[in-house]
Parts: sequence; structure tokens; C-alpha cells
Amino acid sequence: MEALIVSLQSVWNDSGFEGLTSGNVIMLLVGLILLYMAIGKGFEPLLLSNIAFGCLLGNIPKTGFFDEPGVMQVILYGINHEVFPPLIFMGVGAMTDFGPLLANPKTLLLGAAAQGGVFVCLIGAMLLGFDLREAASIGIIGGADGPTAIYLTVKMAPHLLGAIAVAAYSYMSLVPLIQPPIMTLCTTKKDRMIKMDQLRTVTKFERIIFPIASTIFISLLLPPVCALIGMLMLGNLYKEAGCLDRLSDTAQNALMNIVTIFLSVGTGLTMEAEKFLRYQTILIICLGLVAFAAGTALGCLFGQVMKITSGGKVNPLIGSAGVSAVPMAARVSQVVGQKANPSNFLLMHAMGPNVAGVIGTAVAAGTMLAMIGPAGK
Amino acid sequence: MGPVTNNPFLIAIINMIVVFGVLIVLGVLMHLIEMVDPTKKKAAPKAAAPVAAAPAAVAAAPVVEDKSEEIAAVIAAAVAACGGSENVVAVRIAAPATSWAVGARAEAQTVQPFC
Repeated sequence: MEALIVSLQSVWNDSGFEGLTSGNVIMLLVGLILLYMAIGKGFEPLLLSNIAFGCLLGNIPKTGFFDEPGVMQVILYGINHEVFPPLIFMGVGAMTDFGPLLANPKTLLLGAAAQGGVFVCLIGAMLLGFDLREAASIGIIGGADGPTAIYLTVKMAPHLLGAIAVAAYSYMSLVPLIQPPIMTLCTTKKDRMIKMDQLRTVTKFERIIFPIASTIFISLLLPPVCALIGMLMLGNLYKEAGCLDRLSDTAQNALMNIVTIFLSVGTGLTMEAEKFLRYQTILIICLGLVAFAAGTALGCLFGQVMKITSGGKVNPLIGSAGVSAVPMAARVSQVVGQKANPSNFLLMHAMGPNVAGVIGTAVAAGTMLAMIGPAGK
Repeated sequence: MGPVTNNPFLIAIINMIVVFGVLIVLGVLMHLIEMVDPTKKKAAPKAAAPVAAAPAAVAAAPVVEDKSEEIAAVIAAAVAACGGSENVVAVRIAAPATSWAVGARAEAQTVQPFC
């Protein structure tokens, strides 16, 4: 009998229940809510479900995930050493069509303007007491680009990774809800009804040379983001080359799915109660919303400028797609434009600023890394 | 080496200038690629062909790839029923595309369920 009690005591002492804190319980509930949002409500399920499950796993005590070798250590290594974001970018590149951007390079400016949200958020974060590196990491949420946000945060403020990744991916899934009211505020119905001219045909030569030339130029200018831009453009080269279909298929399907699983589970693992349950997390969530809203508004307002300068040929709604969130932000432009004018098809026009936003966010991240420097340096 | 400055407004302004500058240079790069494109002249006649052919084809039956005229008639009727004012000139099977392109097509078909 005594042996049984000792054994049961031993099992209890080794169990997670023994080490469970109130913080862990709260985070387990957060994980369950995120799972419900992902699976029940369909908010970015491919990412949020993994983040949520990672959150559950990361808040079970005594698992040894953070200090003993094992699969979770490998996943965390990929997060902490910026392995996964560039691999995700390779898949993004393989799925990206730069054709609309090449056909109308002026839309690059919309992608640049929408990055204003990043810096509005950076200013707000510093005013709220975050230090410069933390503010830069929080600001990048406004780029609506998960991999870049993770990439920059790991380099500048790794202790905020969980909160920033959750804010970035949550708001990206809420783009169809956040953007339309702001787009409506920044445009008149007449603006939204504008039909844009058909884009010119882009040759295969342009499609192949662009990723190569832009990689060389941006990487030489901003070496800290060479991994991101390089992998984005390599993936795109797979797609456009015409003789690399197998690699393109792997990059945009199998590899993308595998790395998405690792990246999002690893992000969830970083949501430990001690790191996540802070007043700062609430501020980050609020600042992320400000960043998204500001980016959308600035994109639309710059779209208004382009509408005026082009003699009314540009629909300002495509400006909101400059916040990246590929391709969802472009779809929102399409949907809002079509509500105003059912025969309006803005999707391909909005893809220009949308992919420009991806490049713009990476450039903004690289510039901040160059100006501010990574943590500990 | 520490940060160049701690002034958030200055950082924001400098960064925006750099982002605009880099993307403008990329735009110039795109124009240069277009200008030096040796395949442009070959591609141009191909691109112009459908425009020239369009007026003549308006009254004619739609061009359909590997499908019967009945299917073309059904598609044309569906377009007309949805309030389309243009004549259907050609119907072609969508080429295989990336996951996003396939998703976008599905989206375009579902965005306007009632036309």
C-alpha cells in the first residue's frame, strides 16, 4: 500500500499538474480561444491553429521543450535563428505573380506609402514607453507580413516574439474586417467606382530578369534582409523560369506547408505565460491595430494622390493593398471596388501594390536593422 | 554600434525616404528591363492580335477551345443573364496556375454569387 502511495506521489510530482501555474491556465484558455477562432471561425486557420496548439504545448509545465534536446528544440532553433521566415518567403515568391507590378511600376509607390503604418506604430510604441528596438519590432506589425515581423523581432526584441507574431497573424486574418471601413472613409463612392485600364502584357524576359536584378540591388543596399529578399526572388524565379516547375511546385506546396507548420508551432511555443501575460502584450495588440489602420489609410490617401496625378485613372482603393497581407488585401480592394461598381475588377491592379508591400516591408525591416542594429549590439 | 538616433520621428522620416527611394529605384529598374527586353518586339504583334480581331468577332460565334458550340452558347447566355452588356468573343479553358491564382479564381466566382 505504501509503495502504491509513494508511486502515486512520484507520478504526481513529475506531472504537469504539480507545476501548473495560474498563468499557464490562462494561456491554455488563450490557446483554446485561438483554436476556436481558427477552426470554428476560419480566421487564418492554417497559421492560427498551429500557433494556438503551440501555445497549449508551450504552457504545459515540465515538458523540457525549452532546455532539453528534441523536436521542439529544433523548431525553436529555426525560429530563434531566422531559418523559417526566409523559407516561407521562398514559398511566397513561388506563389507571387510580379506581372501586375511589372506592368504598372507606379504602384510600387502605393506599397511604399502603406509602410507609413509601420512608422506611425513605431512612434506610438516609443511614446508608450517601449525602447527603440521593441518599438521597431512592434511597428513592423503594420507591414502585415508575418515572416518579416518574426524575422525582425527575433533580431531586435526576441522577448516580444509571441505577442508580436500573434498580433501580426491575428490582424492579417482580420484584414477583411479592418480594412473596408477605413477604405470607405478615405474614398468617395465615385472614387470607388473608377475602372482601371487593362494592364499591358509582361514578357517572360521581364519576369525572369526582375527577381534577379532586384535581389542584387536590394541585397547590396540592405544586406540584413538579403535572406528574405533573396529567398522571395529565388522562389519567384522557380515559378517564372519555365524549366524549374518541380522546384516551384515543392516551394509553393510541400515546403511551404512544412515550414508553415514549424514556424507557427514554434511561434506558439514562445507564448509562455511568463513572457506573454504582461501589460505590454495588451499594448502590442492595440498598437498592431493602429499600425494596420494607419497603413491602410495612408495607402488609400496616396491612392488619392495617384488618382489626381493620373487624371482619374487610378482607383484609390488599390492603395490599401500596399500593406502586404498577400493576397488577402488585394481581394479586399476587389470586393470593396465591386460593391461600388459590380463590373469593376481591381484584383490584378491591387496585386501590384500588394506585392510591392511585401518588398516595402522587407526594405523597412532592413533599414531599421541598419539604423538601429540588432539586440545586444 | 548603437542606434544612429533615438528620435522616433526622425527614424520614421528617414525610413520612409529610404523605402520610397528603394522602391522608386526598383521602378526605374523595371522600366530599364522593359526597355532592354529583346523579346518585346516578338511579343507585341501577339498582344495586338486579339484587339484587332475583336470588332470582327463581335458578331461571329464565340471562339471556343475544344468545346462544342452548345457550351459556348450556355456560357454566353449565363453572361447575358448576369447583366453582361459585352458580346462574348472567346471562351478558353483556364490554364493551370499557382495556388493563389486558383484561389483568386474561386474567389472571383464566389464574390458575386448573384452577379
